[in-house]
Amino acid sequence: MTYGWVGKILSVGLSTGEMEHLDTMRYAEKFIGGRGIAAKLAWEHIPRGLDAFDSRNPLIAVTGPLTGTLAPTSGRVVWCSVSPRVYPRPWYTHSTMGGFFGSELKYAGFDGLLVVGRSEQPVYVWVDDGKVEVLPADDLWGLTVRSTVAKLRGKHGRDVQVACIGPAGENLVRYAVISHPPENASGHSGFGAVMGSKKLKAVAVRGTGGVKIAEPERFVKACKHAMDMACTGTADAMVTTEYEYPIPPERPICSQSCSANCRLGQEVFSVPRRFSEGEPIRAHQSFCVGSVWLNDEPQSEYEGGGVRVPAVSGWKPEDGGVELHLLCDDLGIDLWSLLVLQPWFVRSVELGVEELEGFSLDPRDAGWWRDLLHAIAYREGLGGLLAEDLRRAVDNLGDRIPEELVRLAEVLEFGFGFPAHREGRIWDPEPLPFWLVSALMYASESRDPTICTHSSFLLLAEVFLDDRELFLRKLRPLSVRLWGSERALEPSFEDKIRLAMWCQHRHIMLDCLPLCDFTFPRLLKPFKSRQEWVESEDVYGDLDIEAKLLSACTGLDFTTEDLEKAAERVFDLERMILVERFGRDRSVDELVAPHFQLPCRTDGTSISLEKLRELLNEYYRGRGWDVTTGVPKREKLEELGIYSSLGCST
Amino acid sequence: MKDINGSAGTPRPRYMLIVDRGCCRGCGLCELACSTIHEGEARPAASRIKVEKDRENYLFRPAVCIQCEDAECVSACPVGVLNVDRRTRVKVIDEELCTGCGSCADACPFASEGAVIFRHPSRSVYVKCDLCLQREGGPVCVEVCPTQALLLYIGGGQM
Repeated sequence: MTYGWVGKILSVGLSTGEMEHLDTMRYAEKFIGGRGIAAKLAWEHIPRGLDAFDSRNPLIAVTGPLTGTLAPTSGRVVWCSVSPRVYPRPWYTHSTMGGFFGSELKYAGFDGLLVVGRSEQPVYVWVDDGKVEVLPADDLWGLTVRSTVAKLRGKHGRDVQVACIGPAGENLVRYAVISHPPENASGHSGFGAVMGSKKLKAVAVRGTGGVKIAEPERFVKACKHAMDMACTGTADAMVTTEYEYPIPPERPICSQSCSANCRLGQEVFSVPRRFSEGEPIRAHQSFCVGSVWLNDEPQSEYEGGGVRVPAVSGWKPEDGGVELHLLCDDLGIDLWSLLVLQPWFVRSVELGVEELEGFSLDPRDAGWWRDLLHAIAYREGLGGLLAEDLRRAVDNLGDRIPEELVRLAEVLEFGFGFPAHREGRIWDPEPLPFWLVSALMYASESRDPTICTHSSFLLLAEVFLDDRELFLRKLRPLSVRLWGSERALEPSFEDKIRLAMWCQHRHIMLDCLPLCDFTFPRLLKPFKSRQEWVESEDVYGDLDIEAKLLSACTGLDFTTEDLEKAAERVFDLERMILVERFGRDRSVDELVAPHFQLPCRTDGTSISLEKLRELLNEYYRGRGWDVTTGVPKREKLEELGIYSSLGCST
Repeated sequence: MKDINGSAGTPRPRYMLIVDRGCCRGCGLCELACSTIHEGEARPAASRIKVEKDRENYLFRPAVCIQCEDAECVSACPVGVLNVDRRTRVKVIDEELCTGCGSCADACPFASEGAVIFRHPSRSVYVKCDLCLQREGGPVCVEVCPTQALLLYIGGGQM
């Protein structure tokens, strides 16, 4: 009997109509699930130099053994494919999604989904308790996200879970999302455009099956422990003034992460209803869902890339305005793209650019943004240019714009076309050493560092900034234990390699199980008050939560070391995909260097190219990668047990 | 009405779940926990407590058996396998002996409130909430509910 995993991955060939069931357990032992299994599938299906819009590009969605169970925040699914957003040329990457789609897929009998080929006509995939059909989607093509879901629910029933694209995905906008309303999406990687290129409008799922649990009572206990440990949210909570303990009961921690229920948001605020009349919803989240674009509180004015971005006027729905967040959701555009486009346009106007491609610029007005977002989604005029993402748009605009705007675009999307994120220059306050960990992640991975970095490190930055000496004193014993050096968290360049690798492995671990990387790992225990944080000698939380959950769920004995090893295996496999199929090497890694020569906005620190190269030497050695090429060595791949199955040339 | 362990005339406490709909946020932990304990699998379709979730409107309606005093399901069972637990007065279906006729569900006056007695999604028996009588810690849904929308009520004597 298999526990945790349900045993099959559904493979659908859209060109041929062929369907196949792959045996999950062939992959599960080595790669656990989620991002791990997806990487193995990608290795098997992605030929060298494959373009995102090539019909052979596999669109992969994999859940993990914990998806659909009681494990808090486990309702996730990891989407993987060749991403059209990557600049200058697409390569393989991932993008996770919360909500209920992953759970439903498992209840319907599948751990994952692999879609290859391309349909001639618009279609959607209907999965009903193990029965799978590819059905015509002519009546869905062109619809917004919400209309698509409403139509599919009208047809197949209210309980159906849907992942779909909006007009932006259909029109191959390079940052189109795969949407799972309400409020969930696979955002940054532009996989909505991959769906669009396959003429795949939606995947609708209903399942009445379950996920078998090996040791129910032990599992319930492990879940409750995980919830208790996570009850205070991210690390920064302990120094924020809104911090309340215990968390008021109207804020549950979700079982299916990224519903509008997340307990992690320390602020409770009103969100206008999007779908119905009535009083505003008391929402419990200050990020991911809403925030910048939802209210006219001070945070809607912000600084990005050195540009002061004012609050957008005329947005309030009650004043007849537009809600840009909702519009992005409905058109199927990555909400974060606004955080790149807005400072860029504000600066354009400051530099005297009044129009582009016949489109006059007025980035302080929400109505203007509405028109621009529509133009992007339907690729009209300037929108068509921006649909290629800002970096490519700037390449196309060439000398028609001031040089500074070219540079600004390069800074805002320095990470191979992904928006700057947690790197201390654009948005986030990360001082040294936190931005340095991000720099090593940018240099070695396929996309911007995602959210594990917040929970494990980069929201720790807020605690560090609050009282540096206190922070370092409390964390030193943990630094020694986890990263082999007292200096790991010091604001310096020394002893950061194990720290960065640990961060990366813990993140992959979460993406394999999966769990929400805003919530785990629980490096620190929950504190009832700031005072308790100040007075506690032992601040350690529980880094074995993940292994405890997985072991009780599957009945297999996983230790944290086992999971870290599996995570390293997945990390190196992802690296091998980039190396072997997309020509990634050390020279590409070093392309992120100029960004980190800019001063950190919080402490003014930076790193020279020479110093970064030294650190990369150290990093590659730490990973068992060739220092000259940045390619994992044969011995390392053998040690990880994947060399023979890769059959690659190194 | 037949009590498990025979009948006794003295008043006994009545155990039941109380649901505060206003507190429910539709996270579904109760359904996952219930099915994990009763079925050995996380399976909302087999959970004895059901939450009707209207996420678009942020409206959630948990429904679960309220262990009626004069339970019509008990008298409706033609084979006498829906019994009343002596200690708690909880109505319990003996799933090993249930013939799956559905008379209990037909008789339940709260059927319109949601499936408080329902046919198991893969076995031909009917199932309902038994307040986790066999479980040391009591009802697992109450234990995991993060918003205190569920409460185990223990009333005194005959109501």
